[in-house]
Amino acid sequence: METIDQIEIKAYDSPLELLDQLIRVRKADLFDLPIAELCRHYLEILEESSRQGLDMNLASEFIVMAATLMEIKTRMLLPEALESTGGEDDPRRDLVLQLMAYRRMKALATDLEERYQRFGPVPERASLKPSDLGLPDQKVGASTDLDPERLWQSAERISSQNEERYNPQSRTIRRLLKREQWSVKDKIKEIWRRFKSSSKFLFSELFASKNPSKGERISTFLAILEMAQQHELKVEQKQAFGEISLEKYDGD
Amino acid sequence: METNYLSKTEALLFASGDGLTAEELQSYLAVEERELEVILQSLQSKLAEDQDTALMLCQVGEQYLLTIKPELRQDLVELSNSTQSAKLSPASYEVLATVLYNQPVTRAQVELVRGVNSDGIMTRLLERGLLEECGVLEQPGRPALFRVTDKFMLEMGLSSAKDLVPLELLMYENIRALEEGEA
Repeated sequence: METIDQIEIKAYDSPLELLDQLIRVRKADLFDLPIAELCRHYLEILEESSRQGLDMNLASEFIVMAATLMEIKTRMLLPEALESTGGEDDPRRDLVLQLMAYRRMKALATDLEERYQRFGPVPERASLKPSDLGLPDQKVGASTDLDPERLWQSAERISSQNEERYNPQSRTIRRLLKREQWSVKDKIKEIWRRFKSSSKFLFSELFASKNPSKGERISTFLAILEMAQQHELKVEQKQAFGEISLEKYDGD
Repeated sequence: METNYLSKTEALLFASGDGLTAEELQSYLAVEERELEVILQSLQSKLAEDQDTALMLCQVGEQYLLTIKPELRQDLVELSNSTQSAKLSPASYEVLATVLYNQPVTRAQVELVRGVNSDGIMTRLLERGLLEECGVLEQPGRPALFRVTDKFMLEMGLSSAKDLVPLELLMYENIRALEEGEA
C-alpha cells in the first residue's frame, strides 16, 4: 500500500482513480467520507505535482475534482448537512455514488480480464458456401433465359432517368458559370482605367448598359468597397438611395 | 432417431460460421422448440464429454454455434497471423466492463463512469469487433449508443447476461460488505 507521500498524479488516468486510491490508503469508509481530510491531501498532491513541473493544463480534470471536493467540504459545514448524513441531501452523495460505480467497474474489468485469459481469443470463421461443401449452387428460381426485350426496356428507362437527373445539373452549372461573368477583380481594373481619364465620376457611369444585371451591380459595388478599404478611392452618397460619387484618393 | 438429429445439427452448425438461431434450427430440422432443446443439450454434452474432439457447442445471445474448446484456442493463435491476439490494456477492460453493465451507453456516459476520456479506446474496440453501435440517444446532439458484440461475449466465455456477476452482488450493502471484508 502506498503511503500518501508516494502518490503522484502522473500515475493516474483520472481524478476518480486518484481519489479512490486516497480513500483506500486512508482506509476511509466510503459511506462516511472524511471530506475535509481527503480534500486536504488531494490538494497537497496537486500542489506537489505542480511544484514538480506538472503542466496543470493537462491536469485540468484533476483541478475540477479539487474544486468539487472543496465545494462538498464547504456544504458539509452547513447545519442542514450535519442532519442529513447518509441521506438524500448529504453533500457527499453524488461523489459516493460515482465512486461506487467506479469501483464496481474496476471489479468487473478484472473479472473480464480473467475470463479472457480463460476463454479468448476465439477463432472466427465465415459461413461455408455451398461450393465449399461440394454442393451444387442452387439459386431458387434462377432463369438462364434473358429476355432481350426487357433488357432493352430497362436500359432505356435508366437512360431517360439519367438524362433527367443530369440535365438540370448542367443547366445549374451553366447558370453558376454565368454568375462568374462579373468578377470583382475585373471591375476594380475597370475603375482604375476610368480613373486614368477622370478623377471623379458616378457609380452609375460604370455600367455599360442602362439596366445592368444584379450580378454586375453587386460585383461593381464590392469592387468599390474593396478599393475604399484599401484607401484607393473616396465614396460619397449625398442622399439615401441617391447617386454615389467616386473620387480617386490622393492620399492625404 | 436421436443420433440422426445430433449429426444433422452438428452439420448445420458446422456449415454456418456464426451460428443459427433456435428458430432457424427448428425449421431446418423440422422439430418443435422442446425437441430442439433436448437435441441441443445432447449435442452439447456429447461434444463436451468427448476428449478427442475440439468442438464445443455454445450459445451467444440468440445464436447457437460450434466453436473450439477454450483450452485448445491458444494452439490456434500461432496458426492465424492476425493482430487479434494483441493483448487488451487494463483501460480497455475498464471500458468493456462499463459498456457491458450499462449498455446501451454513449461515449460520454463511459467517460463519466471511468472519470477519463475513453474515445480512443472505444474506437479501437469498435475496430476489433468487441463493441458495436446500436442506435442513438434521443437527445440534443443525438450521440451514438454502444454495446458489446457477440464476438465479445464469445471471447469472454459469456453466453448471456446470466453469466455475469449478478448486479445485486454489487449493490450498496454488498459493496460495503466487500469493503469490510477487504479491510
